[in-house]
Amino acid sequence: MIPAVDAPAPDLSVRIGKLTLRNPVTTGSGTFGFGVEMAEVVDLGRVGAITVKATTSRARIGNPPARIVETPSGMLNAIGLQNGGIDDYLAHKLPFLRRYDTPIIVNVPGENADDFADVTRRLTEANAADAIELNISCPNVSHGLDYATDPRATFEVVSACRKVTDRTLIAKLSPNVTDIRPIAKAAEEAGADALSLINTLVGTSIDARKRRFRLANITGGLSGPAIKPIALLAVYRVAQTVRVPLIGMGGIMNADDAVEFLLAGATAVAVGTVSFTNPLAVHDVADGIGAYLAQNGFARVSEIIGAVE
Amino acid sequence: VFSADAETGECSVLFSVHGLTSRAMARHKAGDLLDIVGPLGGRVFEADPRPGAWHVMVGGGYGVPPLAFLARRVLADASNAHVTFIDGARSREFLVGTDGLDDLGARLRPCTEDGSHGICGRVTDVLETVLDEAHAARRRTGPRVHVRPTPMMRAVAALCEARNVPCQVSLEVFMPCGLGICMGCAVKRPDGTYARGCYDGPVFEAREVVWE
Repeated sequence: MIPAVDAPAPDLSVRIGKLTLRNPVTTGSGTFGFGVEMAEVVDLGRVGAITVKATTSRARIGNPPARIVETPSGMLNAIGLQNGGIDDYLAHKLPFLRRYDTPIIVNVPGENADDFADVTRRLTEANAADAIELNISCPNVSHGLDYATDPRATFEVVSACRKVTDRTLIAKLSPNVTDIRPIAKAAEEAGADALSLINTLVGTSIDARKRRFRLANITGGLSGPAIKPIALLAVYRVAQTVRVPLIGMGGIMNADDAVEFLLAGATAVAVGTVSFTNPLAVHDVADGIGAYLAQNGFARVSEIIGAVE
Repeated sequence: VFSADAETGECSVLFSVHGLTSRAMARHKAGDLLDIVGPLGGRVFEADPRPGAWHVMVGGGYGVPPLAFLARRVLADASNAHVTFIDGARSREFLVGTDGLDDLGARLRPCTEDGSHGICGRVTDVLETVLDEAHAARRRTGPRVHVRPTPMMRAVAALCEARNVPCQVSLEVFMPCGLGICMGCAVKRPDGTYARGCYDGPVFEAREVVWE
């Protein structure tokens, strides 16, 4: 179908908690640095929201190399949350990000509920995040995954953070569970405004010739197109279970992939691993969603959210 | 990058067919259109700006192109700069990329492990000789050493450290994104933290790197 020439451009904006995103595309934490590196290639003023790399209470050195290996249709990473800590973020990363009129989502891991809440409170008090994405599902640090595999632990962390912030609070869920729905429900009941899903799947890789593990950490998180069908089903199932908006992610390589996530029930999407091969993916996907809506006669994104039949 | 001409906008890349990506690159024919993200990286080889500065390039095989690029730039920018180029390989057929540098004024010191061309030996043997000669001649300005690729770097870095000679290395760690965002190309620093090979480098002072 050829759209009428005078049809207005589709409305790409979406709401996630208290945030309004100019388009439904954000960046997967850890695949976009702190924005400053990507600003050489990408127009940060056109991105739906910038989700920055995990920020912890204290600086973390990260895991020894090798940290990343390629796998069929994907990659495994075991970076180990290398970052300069919240003080470094406030002093050196935030001022640059604030030059753009784009919401900032800060990904927050933690050692325990108090640690999560402490970083959340400090980010809130410093006005250093428009939304906080609780990384209760990082597979590459001890205790990282534990929270998102247990509804009670998820509830405990999210409610501790809910008490100390009025910002949009997002819980990032793990696919490494038998059923993601009770965990999604627990996060919602604890006060999460939105859910991100999915984080990476735990896996490993062995070099047969050297008879050694390829990653120094042995295990890593699998991402890329290999995990898209799993992510898509998780989004669909959780969308049937909770009322809060979902940010769908996992193997999105192009606008068609992103539209599938919206149809499955996601309100927004994140591009991750694709940025390593196409740094402009965050723009390409947003532009492509707009083109899809126009070509199919939709006026706004909300018309296709959860519209799969 | 082997050469770049700001006026014509042309640049050339010299590479060794090694894995999937370089095999795909080698399949291209003249006239093909390529999608390229670059140039990437935060630090390149730095020339010593002092008049009469002496640069020693130590390279081999696919490590030669960026050093040849640097050598040509140094010789063009500073008329009184000195360049010694130690080009090492297993045998004659692996020596590439230094053609014409001697005409520009570089002193070429090729070496091969099998003696098929130049001095029979390794780049470190030649570097030691070069540094000894400079010492004997009571040369006032010490050299700045630039080296690539990795197996050579380790040995050259150790030699330079022992003799207190400044040495720059161009690391070739596995770089998944090349943009400084994935943190995959971790390079260990003496304080135990990790730098990003692609974004904080790829050129580092040899003493900024822990050689494991």
